[in-house]
Amino acid sequence: MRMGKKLKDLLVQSKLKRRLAPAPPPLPQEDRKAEKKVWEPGELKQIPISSSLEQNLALVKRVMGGNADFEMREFVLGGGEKRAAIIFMANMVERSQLNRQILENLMFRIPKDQKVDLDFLRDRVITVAEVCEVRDFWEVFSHVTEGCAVLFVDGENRALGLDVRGYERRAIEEPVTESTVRGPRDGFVEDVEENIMLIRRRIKTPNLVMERVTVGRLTRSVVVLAYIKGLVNPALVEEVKKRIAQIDMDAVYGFRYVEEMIIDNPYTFFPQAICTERPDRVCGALTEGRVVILVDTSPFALIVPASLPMLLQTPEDYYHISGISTAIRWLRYLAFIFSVVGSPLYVAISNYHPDMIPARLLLSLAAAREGVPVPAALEAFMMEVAFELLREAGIRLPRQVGQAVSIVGALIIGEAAVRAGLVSPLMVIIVAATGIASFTVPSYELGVPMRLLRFPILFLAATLGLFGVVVGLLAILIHLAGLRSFGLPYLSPLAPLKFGELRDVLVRAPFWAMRTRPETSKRNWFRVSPWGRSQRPEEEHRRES
Amino acid sequence: MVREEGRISALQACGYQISIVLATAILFVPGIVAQKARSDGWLSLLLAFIFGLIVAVISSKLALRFPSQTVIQYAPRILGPFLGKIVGFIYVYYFFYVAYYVQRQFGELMTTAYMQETPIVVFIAILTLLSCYAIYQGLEVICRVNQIVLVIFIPAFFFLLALIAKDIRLDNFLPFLENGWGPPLVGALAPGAWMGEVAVILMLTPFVSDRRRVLRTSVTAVVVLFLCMLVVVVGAIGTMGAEVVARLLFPAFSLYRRIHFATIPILERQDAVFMMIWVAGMLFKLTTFFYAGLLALSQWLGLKTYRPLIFPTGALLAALSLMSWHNISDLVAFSAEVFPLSIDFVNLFLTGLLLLVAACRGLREVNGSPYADGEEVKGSAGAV
Amino acid sequence: MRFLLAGLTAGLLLLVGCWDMRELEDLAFVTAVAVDRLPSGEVRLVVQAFNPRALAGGTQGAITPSASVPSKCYRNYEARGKTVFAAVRELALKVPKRPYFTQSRVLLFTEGAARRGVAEVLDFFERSVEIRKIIPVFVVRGDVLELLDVPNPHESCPAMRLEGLVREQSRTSFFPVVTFGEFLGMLVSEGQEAYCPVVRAERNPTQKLRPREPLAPAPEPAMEIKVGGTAVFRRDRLVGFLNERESRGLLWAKGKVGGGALVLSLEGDKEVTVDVLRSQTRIRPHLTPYGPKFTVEIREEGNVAEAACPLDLSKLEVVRQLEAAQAAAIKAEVEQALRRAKELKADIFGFGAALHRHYPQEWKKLKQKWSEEVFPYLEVEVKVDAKLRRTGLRSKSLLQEVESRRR
Repeated sequence: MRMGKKLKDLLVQSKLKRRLAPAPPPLPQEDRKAEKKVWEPGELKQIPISSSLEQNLALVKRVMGGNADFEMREFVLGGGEKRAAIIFMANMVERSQLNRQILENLMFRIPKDQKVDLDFLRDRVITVAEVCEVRDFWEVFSHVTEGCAVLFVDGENRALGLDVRGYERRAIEEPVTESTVRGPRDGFVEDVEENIMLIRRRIKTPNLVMERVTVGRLTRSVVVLAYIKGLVNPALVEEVKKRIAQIDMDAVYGFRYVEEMIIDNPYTFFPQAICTERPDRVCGALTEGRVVILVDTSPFALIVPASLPMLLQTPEDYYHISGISTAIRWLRYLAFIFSVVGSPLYVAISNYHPDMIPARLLLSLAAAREGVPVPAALEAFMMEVAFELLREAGIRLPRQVGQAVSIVGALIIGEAAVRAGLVSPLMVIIVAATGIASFTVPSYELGVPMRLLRFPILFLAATLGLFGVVVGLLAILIHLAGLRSFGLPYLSPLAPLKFGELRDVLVRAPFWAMRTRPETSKRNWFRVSPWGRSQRPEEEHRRES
Repeated sequence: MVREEGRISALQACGYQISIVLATAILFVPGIVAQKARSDGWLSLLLAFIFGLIVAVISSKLALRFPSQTVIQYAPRILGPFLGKIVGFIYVYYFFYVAYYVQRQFGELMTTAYMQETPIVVFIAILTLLSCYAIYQGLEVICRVNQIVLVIFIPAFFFLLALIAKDIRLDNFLPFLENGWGPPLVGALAPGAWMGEVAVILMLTPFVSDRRRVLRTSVTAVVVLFLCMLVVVVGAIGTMGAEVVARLLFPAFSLYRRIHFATIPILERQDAVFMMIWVAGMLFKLTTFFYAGLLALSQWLGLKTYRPLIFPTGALLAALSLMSWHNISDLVAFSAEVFPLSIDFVNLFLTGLLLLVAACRGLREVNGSPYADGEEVKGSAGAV
Repeated sequence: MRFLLAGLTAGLLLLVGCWDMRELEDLAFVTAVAVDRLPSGEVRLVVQAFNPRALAGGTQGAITPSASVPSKCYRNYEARGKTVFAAVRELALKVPKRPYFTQSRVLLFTEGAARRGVAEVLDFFERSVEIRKIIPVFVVRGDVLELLDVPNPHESCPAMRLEGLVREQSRTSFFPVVTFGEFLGMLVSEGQEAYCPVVRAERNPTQKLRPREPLAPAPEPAMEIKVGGTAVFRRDRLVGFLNERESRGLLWAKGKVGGGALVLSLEGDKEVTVDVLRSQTRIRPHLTPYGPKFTVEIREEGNVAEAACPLDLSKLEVVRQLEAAQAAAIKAEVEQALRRAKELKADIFGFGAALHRHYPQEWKKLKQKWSEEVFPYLEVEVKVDAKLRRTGLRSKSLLQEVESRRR
């Protein structure tokens, strides 16, 4: 994979060289005519901004001329005769800001006889917070396509990029895929800036670092790396940065593009980074010393390193009384295991070990099986496939129709199949229970592989009985133990065993008992100050009274 | 993504040592002990325990003399190149020999007790493949999974035994020393040999991150094993009586089949659950021997990695396990008569000999070894 | 490498057949196995297999589906063979499904088979994985086919009914509960002869013969299954029986009485019935110059369940008196059982085993002549420590108050 990438780089470079061989291209004067020439980034980087406004604008027109949403405004700076131009994408800037704070100021707020240059404009005239200097045309077009405006002034071989971005965003809404009863209701949106805001609002320390990287040759998507200095293992940050820097692809549209390029093991069903829409979950991970990756245009954040126990936790756990959370967590763990072995266990026991079933139950089972034409294994397989079909149909269809699917599927077809004697009622119960169990897995991307792995295990159960089920489970276990996510063993803290961290895995210990920080942040050891126990609210209260 | 051999913690090494003995021992020990020592079987275990401790101490002392090498690497230094190579080969053979013995035992129980019509080769092949997969992933992964398996295996084992605790009758342990100390001593031979298998620490020490604890882990392993065996022997003889146990091929299995609750019938007839956890235990018994053997073989041949050897060796072991014994009586006689002695020879005699010679010649590890003493091991997080 | 592994595994799995797979509907779940011996020495096997169709839908399982005869939930099959296994396999000629023994609830021997010796037929059951060691063993008196076909709506399958009776054993303690595993253990252990409960089919006294009217509910069944008494074995042969009281005597000595009604006959034809709560027993051998002597120490607790005589149970001395009577009654039962066992020369009490445990050397000397010369003349002392704990909802007996008012 890496070799391929290098090869591509070489190709690109050699192409560039061939193109660049003839010196800077002549700049013809036709305007607004779609140009055949394709401008490569490397080429644009080579062209500096010239001091002649005419020349600059001519080049801009050659590059962007055919675009309907491209705007260029030429004007004269106030207080003199100096010409200037501002270029921007019509739909990506906030017009009022552009008019009031830039054009108005530039045209009217410059004192007469003032010697005007770019520095003066930046320091005295333009009232926009984010301004940066631009020296070559690659930067010019980067800014323009990102939604900034670029100001050219005649006689200056520099330009100013002005952040007047303004585009429609989705309002912050409740997370759809991870809902909680007690948790906060805000979820990430597609805009990365908004998401940064959501995190910052929760962690108010200067040590929270947000590093911005751009990936994707065409999309130049913004990727933000967030971590807390002093908590995170610096080696981890370096590793994440290194891997992100190696991403070289045309388009990066969402978190999955980044995730797939940076995970340790590409051949697995299991997610090696946690993706979440919840800012509170992200903040929890940050304070555990993990690194969070935000990708623009994606309402999901990635948390690395991930581990299986973490994927089975929900933010909800931390909004309930610890004992209750522990109980619910165990329910979820059992459901997680059941979601893989549910129907295979039934097939294995009924086909290979009927002696395990208590007599009365066995008799009613055998009675239910009377007249079912297919073997139990095939029956289970058919039901599982039908279940997956219904699930998929339910997701893909519009919500109103989706309900109809579930009614038709579950009630009508299920009932009719049982009546017709095609499947036994118990099988319907088992498959439905297994399906429901798989829905309790809190992270969607972990629930799916579990459901898929059920099929090979079902096959093993049908061929080898309980032995097959154990073999399948052991194979999965070995596979899981072999995975690493950014160096963190996937099953930690279960294996390798870290007793201290089990208190957030086997139980959800009360916060005052979770005193030490997890392995991921080795340095500052205490999460709660060592004398934290005495600061528990009720004790404080007792001291006061 | 190059996987190195990795480092394991002392706890994991202890788990490895437990797994290397546990699964078959608990299955067969009650029968062998009851056959030889009748109702004094528990005394045999006590003797075996002492034997196990001796082996644990000897092997740890030897391992600590050369903490950064395995026995295959330093045997030539102790005994000279030729004899050392021969001893090395005995170790290699020993590991493989037990590995294919384990495969056969596993297959025999599965075909006898659970799936009579399935050919034994299926079980052996599947177990071997799983084992190959685990070994392919490396020592760290083996130890990690092993930890999980033990955490499930041992409590489940005790839980199942707790279900028959109400049927234990102390009368079954009388008469005490009916024929003197002879029978318990003979009975101690087999469990002693099994406990002696903790000498695998000779192969593991270079990979243990906290090597000073090697002795402690070996002793802990022996203690845990002693307790497990004691519980199963007491359970088996106490519920069924020594006469019955002595006739059984798989006493622990029969024991679980006797769980009986008139009021809670769902708890009865659940011996397939025992099979499930036992498969996991057996997989790791095989894997631990197989891994040790592969490592030993690759070092004996002077290879850099054992990985290319995994599949050929696995296939060879499977074939050997099928061909070495004709039938179950052959296997049972072998495990009672030949097997303990041959294992004792390697674990006690050879190890003792190596230690003795090394001590006499004053051989010790010189500094400058790849892993100097006291070197701290980096945390796994983020260290890629 | 990874793909090689995956490929190998997949290939192997595809090659794997389903050798041991059996669909539930293709199994005939055997609930009872009865072993009989023909005069020729052949083994005659009667098995009861469950008929799940009867549960699935009303009358479907009847012999003729359209008839209004309700279906039976079981079917009995008989097979013969030179050995047990041969007979088991001969079943396949008649049973369209695979007889599956793991769910069998009871193991029965006919009296004839038991008298010929059970060891040779038991080997199959011990060797087989399908037969559990936890199922109870019975000796059948009378016709086994009759026994296995007694209809009863309370628990329609006779085998399951037997299981239920065993579960309720501690309400009388008139028969021992012996699982197959325990039975095997007794057969092989030294100084302990085997015993097991007895079951028979009896005429049902509640049945009234009257002409059947249309639409009338089913009449009371003609026969009834009854468990009670003990079959006594010497070596592996049935040599005799203990009646119900004697059976309880045996269980007292074994410490296995968990309940039952103990009737105390006081002077003047007065009866007090005690509900036994629990008991504990210890058998102690003593060596004397004249050979071993045994003490059976029984500790028992009970409640007064019924007092059909004018007794003031609020008085302590009355309670003491009753306790003594209780001890005497227990002692009588034990001695009666012991007398019977001595007659049969079968050491079902396990005195020999106790001697073996405590004095192995002595046992070695006596082992050979134990059942013939030692056991029948064994001196056994029975000590009973009986306690009365509670008297139910009232202290004085009703009869006493009735009489005092009359006076």
